[in-house]
Amino acid sequence: MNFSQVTPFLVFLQALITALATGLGALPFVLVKGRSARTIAWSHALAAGLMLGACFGLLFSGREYGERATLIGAVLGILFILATEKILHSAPGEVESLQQAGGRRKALIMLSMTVHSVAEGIAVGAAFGGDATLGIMITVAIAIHNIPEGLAITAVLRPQGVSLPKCAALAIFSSLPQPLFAVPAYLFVDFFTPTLPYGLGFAAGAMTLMVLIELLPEAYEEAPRTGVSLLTSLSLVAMLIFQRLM
Amino acid sequence: MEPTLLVLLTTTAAASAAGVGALFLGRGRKLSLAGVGWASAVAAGVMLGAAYALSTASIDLLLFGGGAILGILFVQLLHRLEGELSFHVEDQLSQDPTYSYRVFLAFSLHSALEGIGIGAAMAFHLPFGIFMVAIIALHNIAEGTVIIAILRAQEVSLATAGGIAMVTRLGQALVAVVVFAITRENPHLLSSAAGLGAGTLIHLVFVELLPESYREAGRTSIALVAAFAMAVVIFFRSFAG
Repeated sequence: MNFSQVTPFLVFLQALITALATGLGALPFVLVKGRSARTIAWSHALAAGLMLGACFGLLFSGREYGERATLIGAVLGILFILATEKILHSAPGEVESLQQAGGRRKALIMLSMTVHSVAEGIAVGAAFGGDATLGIMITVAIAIHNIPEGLAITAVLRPQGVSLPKCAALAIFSSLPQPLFAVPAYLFVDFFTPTLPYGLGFAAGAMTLMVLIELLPEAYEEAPRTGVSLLTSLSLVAMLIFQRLM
Repeated sequence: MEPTLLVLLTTTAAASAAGVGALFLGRGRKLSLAGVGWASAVAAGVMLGAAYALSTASIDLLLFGGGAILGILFVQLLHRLEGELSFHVEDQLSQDPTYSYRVFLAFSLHSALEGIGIGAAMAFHLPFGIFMVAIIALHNIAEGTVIIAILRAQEVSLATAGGIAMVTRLGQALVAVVVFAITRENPHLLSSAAGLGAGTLIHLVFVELLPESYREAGRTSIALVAAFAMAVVIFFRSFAG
């Protein structure tokens, strides 16, 4: 295959690789066996830090295209998750079961990560619209970046009883918008590039609210705050550095 | 003007902003526990935004990361020594005679750590430093309101409570000046200092501000307040160069 010549098929293939890489994030959970409330809390704390670190990275990437556009996207993302949360929540007066709470959390994380993938798919396509070298660099960066995101998804789904293969499959599924949006973004790069900061910001805002409204409060309820905060802080910094080095 | 003097004057002004909280609590007004939670959520969002701003300014990411980890571990150690502070003032006063002193000590130590980020930002680039001072001043208003509310519940006069709130922030100015002076002479330490500042801000949010805020005001409102406070900081960051 001639990588110096960019074709829509090449763009699709590269973006598909980035999506498949998300499934690798499930692997560390081979070693995690328990599903106690404490284990779930640690998983949520880890996911919270990774997702907030990813948000910082998205906001930083959005700066290159337009800081204020990124911020508008972020506000829209926050409002989107708020509206979704209200729709998914049980009716007033009913006590929400643990299963319902877990189902809501699963839906929210899949939604926020899928939305996030749209922006990344556009980024891959737009990069190939520049040149092949840039496109491949961005592909590699996003593929590696997707691994801890797959870890974050698994950290939320696995404690809810989702099997490891299914966690990996759902993680990959959440990244499928990447190859789907990469091709039109490449073909219509002039149209899609201006939308990129809004998309990046939207994803950042959605994930931030998801962390603050679901993951962190749940973690604080089931595990000591010092442990939760330490894990969240360290994973946030690790994710931030990891992304910026890519 | 000598840059170090500029740092001292601006950070002292930011520290004084803590007294503005007295305006919200004048004429016998009280801050509900939910209000305390929301004020803390504003402070938390501003601090996360400030940490993000410091990360965007840093050139050497590995040094930044190393500094951030040190900052996190330092706050962790400090938290173990202080113990957890609850905002349920009446309960705490009846059970813990040292509560007031612990509040004063905790807020003083926290604000000193916040000064690290200001000092590093000033050494990076003056407009960025002024931006950091401005957002920390905003955060000081929020935290000052919390401190004043806690002191007012102990029947401390409004003026005295406002003064104490400002005094707890003075460490911010002093540490900012020291960090600025050190990093100005040793620019290779700048990314580490920024990381140290960011790490302390991040961990203070997760170990102190957010857990208490969730308890007082519920997760949805706290999440929204913190997220929008962070968004405001990031918006103004775009003007700071």
